[in-house]
Amino acid sequence: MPNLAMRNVSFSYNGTTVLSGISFELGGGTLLSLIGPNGAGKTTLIKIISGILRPETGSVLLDGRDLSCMKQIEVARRMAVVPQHNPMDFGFTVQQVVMMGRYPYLNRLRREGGADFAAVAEAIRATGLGHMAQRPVTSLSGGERQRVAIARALAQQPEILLLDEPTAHLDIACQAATLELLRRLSTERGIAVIAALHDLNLAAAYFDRLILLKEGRIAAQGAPDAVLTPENIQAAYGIGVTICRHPDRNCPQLML
Amino acid sequence: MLLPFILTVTIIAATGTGAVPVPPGEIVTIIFAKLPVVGNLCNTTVSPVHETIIMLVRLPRVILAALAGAALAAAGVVLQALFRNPLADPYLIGASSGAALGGCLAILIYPGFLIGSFGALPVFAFLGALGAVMMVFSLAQSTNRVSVGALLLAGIAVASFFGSVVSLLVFVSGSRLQPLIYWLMGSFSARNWSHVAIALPYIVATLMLLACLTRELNVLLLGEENAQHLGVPVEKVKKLLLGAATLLTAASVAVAGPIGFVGLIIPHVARLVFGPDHRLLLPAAVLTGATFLVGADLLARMVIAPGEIPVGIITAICGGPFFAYLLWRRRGEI
Repeated sequence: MPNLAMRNVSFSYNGTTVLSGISFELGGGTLLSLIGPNGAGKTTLIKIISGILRPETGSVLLDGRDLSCMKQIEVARRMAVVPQHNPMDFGFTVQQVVMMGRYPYLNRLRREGGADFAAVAEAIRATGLGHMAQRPVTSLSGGERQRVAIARALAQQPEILLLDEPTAHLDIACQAATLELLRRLSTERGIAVIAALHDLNLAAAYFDRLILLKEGRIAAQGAPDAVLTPENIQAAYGIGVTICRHPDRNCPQLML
Repeated sequence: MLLPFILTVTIIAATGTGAVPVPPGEIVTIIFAKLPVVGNLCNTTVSPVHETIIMLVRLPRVILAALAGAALAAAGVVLQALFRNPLADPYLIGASSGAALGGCLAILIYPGFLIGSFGALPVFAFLGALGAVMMVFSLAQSTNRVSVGALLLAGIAVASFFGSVVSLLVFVSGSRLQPLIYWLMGSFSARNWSHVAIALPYIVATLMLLACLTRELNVLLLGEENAQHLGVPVEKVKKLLLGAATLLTAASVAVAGPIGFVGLIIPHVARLVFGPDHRLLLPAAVLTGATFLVGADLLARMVIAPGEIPVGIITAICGGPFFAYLLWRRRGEI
């Protein structure tokens, strides 16, 4: 079980503070959603958690080890990221793209072995892409490409899975399927999932914990019920909302 | 694999064809006789005239064409992956025109270029290519990422500027006009082993470096962000790849002049046949590029024999329509 801890992390781009005083902890099997208005620092926070950006102050600890002391390839064996944009415009097959997730486990001299093929097959099965494994990714729909990107991340066999806007540009069926998949991954395999989301109702329905970011600071964090209050939403987004309860899933839902 | 076989056949055919035809069996004997160990086993019953023609005239020329074709095709493969754009080639990012300018300066500053002092030309060509690529990049760089559209536009701007400087140099070149023009059209005419000796180490070393980076080339096609998350040291790899493509282009321009379209067409053809996986695509493109340019050079020698036309004209005649076809096929996406 991984343990991820952010200790008082701050970051700025060209003198503008993007994140400050971010602290939280996360264990395996938890689904955490980062929410907040555009420009609140969600994407930057994901890049810091994954080690692509170094925090200016504070530290990111993975099982107590400072991430900045680890090599990126070492991090990639434990953490996988599905960014917002996944260009797929050369004619690789689904299988080939997913196999690229094995990059952190291979070196120049080693060809893919049994363990790599097993991990790829498993990732393709988990994302329900089995029937299109040999199709070129260029022929897939947006929802299918999203699943390929997630399968590629799963082939890394990560303990922590980070996703930036995994439901953007997807229809509601694909949104639900993607989030169900994330839930399954966290309950069945104990993967810690961190996803930046714009849709607050989806975040409330599928995630255990929310972190509400506003101007680079944590405005609220905890269970959906504690975070999604009219006061918090008013403070972060500047609009008034009505909160009601989902009749089937015991979670809050927002209405404008 | 079929490709090495096709390349060998093309090389032997190209070596045998000319004013004095030499049969393929004799060519093989001549070449094998020159090799250590194997050479002692061959009976040396070949005509000394043929041996001279093959070893001193045709073989270096054919090998040089193969090297240049391989280098340009590999540079094209690398650039297309690096920019995730199938229209990128050594011309579009300015490497060829930079190398051309460098080469022109070398020819003008060292008039003895055709006889000796080969050292200046590749160095000038490489510096020219590197300078042009760096100019293109600094123009295209906005904040912290290089956008492909801006890059191609910057490439066009730099290439046309360098091109006009080359034209200016041609205009003022006076008595050195003819060698300059002929070099600028791209040709393998009158090349000998010393040309091969210039290009071979650069091209072979760079191709070997690229052979170690094929997995990175694949992962880069997922986008730089994904590549970074997978643990690829993206900035370092990008610099290496760009340097490699520049070096390959410069080495080939230095010995053969700027030959267009090989770096664009060959990667495409290879990708159509062998798919996008660089572990297969790169060697396939290298072999296809070598075969293509040896064939094009053969054609250049045959069309108006005993005279010959610059091989750059042949590749442009094949390449222009092909490029137009690519644009037409992708017109919705650009």
